[in-house]
Amino acid sequence: MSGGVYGGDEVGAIVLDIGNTTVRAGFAGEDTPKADFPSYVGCTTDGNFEDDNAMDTADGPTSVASKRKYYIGYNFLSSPKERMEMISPLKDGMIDDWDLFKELFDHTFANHIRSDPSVHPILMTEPAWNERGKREKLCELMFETYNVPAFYLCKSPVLAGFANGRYTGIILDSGAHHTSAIPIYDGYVLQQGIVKSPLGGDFVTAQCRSYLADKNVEIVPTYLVGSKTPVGKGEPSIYTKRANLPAKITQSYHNYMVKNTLHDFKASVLEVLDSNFHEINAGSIPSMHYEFPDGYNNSYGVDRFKLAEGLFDPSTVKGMDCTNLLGISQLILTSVGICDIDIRPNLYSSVVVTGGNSLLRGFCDRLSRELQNKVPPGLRTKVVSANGSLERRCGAWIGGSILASLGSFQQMWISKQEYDDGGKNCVERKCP
Amino acid sequence: MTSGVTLGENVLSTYDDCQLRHKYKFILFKLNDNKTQIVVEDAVTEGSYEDLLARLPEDDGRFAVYDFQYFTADGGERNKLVLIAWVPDTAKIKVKMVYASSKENLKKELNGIHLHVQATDKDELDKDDILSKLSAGGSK
Repeated sequence: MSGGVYGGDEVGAIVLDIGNTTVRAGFAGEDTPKADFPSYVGCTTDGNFEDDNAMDTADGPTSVASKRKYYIGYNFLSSPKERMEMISPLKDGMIDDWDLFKELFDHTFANHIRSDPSVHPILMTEPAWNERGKREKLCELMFETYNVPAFYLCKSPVLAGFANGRYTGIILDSGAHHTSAIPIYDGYVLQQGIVKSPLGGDFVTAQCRSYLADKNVEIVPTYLVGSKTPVGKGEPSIYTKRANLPAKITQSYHNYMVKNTLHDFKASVLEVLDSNFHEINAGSIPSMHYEFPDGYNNSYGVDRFKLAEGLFDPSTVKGMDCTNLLGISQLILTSVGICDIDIRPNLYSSVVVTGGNSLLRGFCDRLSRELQNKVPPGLRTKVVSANGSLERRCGAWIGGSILASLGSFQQMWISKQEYDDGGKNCVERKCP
Repeated sequence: MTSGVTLGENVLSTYDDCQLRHKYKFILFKLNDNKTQIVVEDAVTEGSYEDLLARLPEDDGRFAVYDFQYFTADGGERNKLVLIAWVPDTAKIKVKMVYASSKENLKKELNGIHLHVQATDKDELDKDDILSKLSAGGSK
């Protein structure tokens, strides 16, 4: 077996997990990713940088693409730049903008791994529904452009399942862009049973945004605030705008920062009730106090439950036609219903919850309660999830990290040799 | 997708002794210390199902084959083998990962298993539950 070249345990493999919100990267065998930075990239297209580009333009025409300038990482993104647009390389969880992906990849190696990709085997995660063309393209890119010694592509729900001790079960992945229920059996994804819904973290964020807009609360992200004066509860905020802001801040940057602010609001305040939303039940639970970056503060009682309710019961959502959307537990029921009747009990008894959005308080309790009520009688249900927030957000990365560090896994890699012999379609054979 | 672990040399012969010659009541398998091979931890000649359960550790994974004996409604005696993958919730994440990703390697080598059970706590290993599944034909 040609993979025998990587016989030892210490191969320094790199595990890369690109999510909708953040990119996770680090060495295999470590407990947590070394790098965890936004997968959104700030991008400026020049002429605006006359200072450093004045010479280049004199040389003759240069393509537009070569003049794009990228800003990656929290440090760059926390302050606005003129005409900086926020873009993401992903579309529907799959890599769509390959130039941008390369930027992220280069950034990861230059600033976090501080090494060269040609000396590290690379294990990457992919969504369960990744297309064949994209997998092959990625494989080609790795071997041809980056000259990696070995490569492997893992389905992230399978990794998340393994990391929770399950090789058969339903993986409920509630991420930023969508929530999906993915059945796996003996470590393989049952493609036909995948059910997706757009009700993810971004949906909840949008709910918060329209709710606050209704209350006439303007959301002022941190980057706009210069200084603030304490105000009483519910009173309009008093703050001074930060000086020396660049002139042309793009809408996409503003939206991105507003989203981050709301994300914090969401994580601090929102909670899922353990049964269907009911004004009286929700009213008896203490309210939460929250202060926005501009000093506006208020306490949120019943509404903090109402905002999260849409995930489980889309019919309660105001101002959106959600009649066709499936709630979280319905997703699981639908997905299991598509699978073979013989394996349904096994799937119900292993529901693995992963993804950042599932960290909403009460999410798992509500899910396990709804499932108990909804599955056919006589079947056992069990909802499992990692406890820590890092484990939940980076479940797939941690799984990949352990897998790639196993001595026995070294024969599984697609080696450079195999790629040279078999071409890019060996990814279909080696990485099912 | 699997972890690529291999089977230790006496795994198959011990299993054959259990399946064909009914020499053992149950066998416990575990992963060796550097997690590259599945090896036989113990093969027990006489023991009840409860004895097997008692030997599953709280913080580590195991694979187990148990030779179930039961009687059908019309009095016929049956022997059927059950493969249990024990990966407790309390185990370390590395243990979970290794056992879950290695089960397929064991499964495809052991012929004649009637039922596969994935268990993370002892509730999922209820004897009556397993017996009713066996008599109903079991799952692949």
